[in-house]
Amino acid sequence: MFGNYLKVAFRSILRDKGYSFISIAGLAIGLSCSLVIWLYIVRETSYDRFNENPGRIYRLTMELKQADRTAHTAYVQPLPPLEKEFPEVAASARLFTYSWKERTLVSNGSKYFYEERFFLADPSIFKIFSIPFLKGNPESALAGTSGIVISESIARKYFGDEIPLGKALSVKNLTPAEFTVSGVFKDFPDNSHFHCDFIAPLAAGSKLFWDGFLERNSFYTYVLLDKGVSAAGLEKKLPSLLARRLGMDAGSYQLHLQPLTAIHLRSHLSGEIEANGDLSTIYLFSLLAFIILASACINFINLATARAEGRAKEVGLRKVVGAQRVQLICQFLSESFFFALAAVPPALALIGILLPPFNAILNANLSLSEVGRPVFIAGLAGIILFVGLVSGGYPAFLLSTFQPARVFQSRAGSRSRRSLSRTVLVVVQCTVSVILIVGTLVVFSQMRYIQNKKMGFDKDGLVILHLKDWESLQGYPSLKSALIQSPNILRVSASADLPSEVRRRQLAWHEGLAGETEEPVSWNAVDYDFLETYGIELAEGRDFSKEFPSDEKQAYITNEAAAKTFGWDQPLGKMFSLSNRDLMRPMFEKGTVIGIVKDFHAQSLHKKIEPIVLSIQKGLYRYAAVKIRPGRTAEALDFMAAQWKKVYPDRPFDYFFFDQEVGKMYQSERRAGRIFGVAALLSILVAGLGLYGLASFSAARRTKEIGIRKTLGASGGDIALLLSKEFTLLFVLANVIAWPAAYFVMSKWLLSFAYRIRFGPEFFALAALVAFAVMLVSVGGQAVKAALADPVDSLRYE
Amino acid sequence: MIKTKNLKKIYTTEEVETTALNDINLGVKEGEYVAIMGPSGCGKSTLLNILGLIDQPSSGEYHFLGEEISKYSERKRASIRKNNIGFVFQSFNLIDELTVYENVELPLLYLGFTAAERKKRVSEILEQMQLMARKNHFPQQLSGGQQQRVAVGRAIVARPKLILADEPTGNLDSAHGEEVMKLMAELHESGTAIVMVTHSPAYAEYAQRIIHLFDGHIVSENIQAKFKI
Repeated sequence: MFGNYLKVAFRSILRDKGYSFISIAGLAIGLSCSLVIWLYIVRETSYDRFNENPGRIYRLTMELKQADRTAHTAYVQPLPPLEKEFPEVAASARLFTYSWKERTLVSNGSKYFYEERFFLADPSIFKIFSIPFLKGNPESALAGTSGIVISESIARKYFGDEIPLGKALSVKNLTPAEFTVSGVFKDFPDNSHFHCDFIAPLAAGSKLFWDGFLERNSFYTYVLLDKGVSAAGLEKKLPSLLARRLGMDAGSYQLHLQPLTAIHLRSHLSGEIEANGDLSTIYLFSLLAFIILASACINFINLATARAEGRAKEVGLRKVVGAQRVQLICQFLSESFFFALAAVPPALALIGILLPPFNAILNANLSLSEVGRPVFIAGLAGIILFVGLVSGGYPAFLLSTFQPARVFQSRAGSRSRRSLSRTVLVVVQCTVSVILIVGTLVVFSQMRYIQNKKMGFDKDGLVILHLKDWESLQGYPSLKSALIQSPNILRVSASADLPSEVRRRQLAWHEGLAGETEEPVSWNAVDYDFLETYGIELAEGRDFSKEFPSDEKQAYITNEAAAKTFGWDQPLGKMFSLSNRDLMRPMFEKGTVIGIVKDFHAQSLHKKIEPIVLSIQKGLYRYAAVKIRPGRTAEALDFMAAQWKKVYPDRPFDYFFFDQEVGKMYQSERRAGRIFGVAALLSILVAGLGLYGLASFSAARRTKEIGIRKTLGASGGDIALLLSKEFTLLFVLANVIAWPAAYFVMSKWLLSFAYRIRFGPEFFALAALVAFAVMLVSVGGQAVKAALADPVDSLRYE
Repeated sequence: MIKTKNLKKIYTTEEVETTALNDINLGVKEGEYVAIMGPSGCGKSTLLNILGLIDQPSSGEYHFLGEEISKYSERKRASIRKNNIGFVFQSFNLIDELTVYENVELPLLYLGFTAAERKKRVSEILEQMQLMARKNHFPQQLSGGQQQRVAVGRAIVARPKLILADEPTGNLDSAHGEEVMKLMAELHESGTAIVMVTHSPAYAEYAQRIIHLFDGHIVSENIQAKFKI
């Protein structure tokens, strides 16, 4: 029986090639989107599960309650070995990475590189995490303080084909130290929440950093619990540990046990080792893929029900020869599964096309090799089941209701009922497409606005050199003097933070405040020439100047927002100081405000401009900014590289362009725009295909009517209008629904920006125009074809 | 085999009520050949559909093989239908996506015959219909007469007790029409009951009894002279 169904399905696909192509193409697009998202979801939810006992591994996190806020950090105070404190803990290990990752300079004697992913860890780290060793012994590789284990890629980078064991590596964070390679491990897989290239013993921290490293630092701390142990039960015992061993008040500090497998998608604590994933991204993508897949199913349903009359005779006949309704439903469901299966090969081909831009947009690393994995095949089977049931369910139900008596008397079914459901589905497709187009237009407009918006500082022509450590900072004055000699370099300055991303907050006192009251402000430590280098304009007063020695300690420049917030009508000369509270040694002196700068965007355009204070603090610069003469970039860079080599002979010349760095702040929005754009394109493509199919069906169904109308005097234009009218009304209805929905969603998104575009009617008009153009192409061709046909061809069969 | 009592069929739309059949009292014996004649719209096809259990009467009784089945569910009617009744239609109603062989085989699939049994039966029928050489052809590749022979083959492959034929020669020229009528006569001789709707008095002559329908009523019944005892 099933063979009979398949034969009929296959042959009817071949007979109606046009409609079959439309249905299969739409399903292939929907399937491929869903499968790519499925691959992504599988990857994102697989993080850290490569470890042998992922369900028993936990990370300790710390919650600190302060006066006005609670901080929750991914790292904790130094704790005693937990396996000695609690019998439930099988192993524990601490992990450390310096907070500014690029500051580790590593050399094998001839090559040197700045390395991210340099870690220190307890030897027990290999008992908790499954990190396969290619060389050396994980039990002993980190014993002592002189061994270091490296990844396979690093081994190749530094030692080529030579055996790295026993070779020397020089490492410098704050102070230089020598290590001997004692092991090589397989590169961490992509789906780990942290990735190490180097692991040195935690005990070596004091030689790399400072004395008291182990006692006064914070560490990422992981535990492996024994089988059957309840993490909740252990967590209840942790306050007693804090009180007993560390004398810490459980009211202010709380330790929590965070499941390893929850870190990647659910943890956004302060100080995460790497930027984690985001459940909301998964939800958004899943929703978009679902929309496109649903649109493809809608196409299938529409075309199947539109062509139902053509199958009525077959249904009636099958009932006459004995088919039960259930058997007919099975037949038509198996046809829809057959269509879904037929869409799989083109879908897989499409995945090959979709994956590279998807990987680029999301910075993911998915590949076609995952297609053979059981979990992918399971997902594919699930999606096909869904598509088969959803697409085939309604047509199967509808077709199986045809009564033989009515079929053979040409009363196949209520035409109005079928048309209503098709109308609804077409309107849904068009509505979704218009919403996605509006979304894309809004996101792209906002991105363009951000790109072009005056930030209050120059973005172009600025090269930034990262002063990665104390020695770099020491060499900065010589570097600055050397660079300024070049005619291709206009100005050089430095600052603790880039002016576009001022992160530091400090409490400040000014003479308007009573007693010792202090207010929080954003603050940046800057060098002389900072304002001129970055093109930040003064509204009042003057810039820092070497002509005034007191500027080095007792001068402050604020922005207009600060003057307004502090209530200053006459800001110049106001007494001011940043606070030395909580600092290890006092840094700030009471001084005066010497200048007010025009407001500039010290943070992303998501946030309103806040009060900001600039002062000179030579020991804190991390970024040197070099303003290049326009058109002389290459020459300036060559000169800079040469001067860098003279000042820092043993470290690589590394730089980036300021405008690119500013652009990175909006990476996720740009990504959202691209994703919306792709989703809108695919959605409109699928909807357009569906409209094309329906239009050609409609024209075929009305052949006789068209023939009669033409015979009675209708022109080609009258016929084209007649056929288009049906779809134009649907189009208008779709827009009526889509516009308020799109406005609601996108205006909410725009609210996340303190500075945003005006969301006016032009967006809706443009979206409607695009959708109309697609409709015109899909439907118009059929209308014109019908209009130009000879009446006798339509009437001949009579 | 068949007995109807005061059978009525009324079609109701939003504005109009049409009585297609009115108090039909009819009987057909096992192995009998009956023709139903009447002008267009008199209710012939409606009556045939009810007799064939593909439509239900609005009121009245319908006894088939001793059971009163006028109120049976579609499920039950389908079961009786596939086990006892074969249909031949004016417009053949073959499934275009199936070959000659597969069209004839279709009723056996719904009856749950094994593959071997189906092959045996279908081959017998195709031989009988002289269609073996065309078994892998599709309906579009056959002439009208050949298509109707396929339809007849499909109607008899399950060896039904009753064949219902609704203007089986309506779309055929006279040569092919004769062919089909001869086939039907052979079936009758082998013991199958036939109820045939026809416009043609000449083809009605093949039947043992002719019933005349007009405006939903039986107006007369003639037993053919050659079949009178």
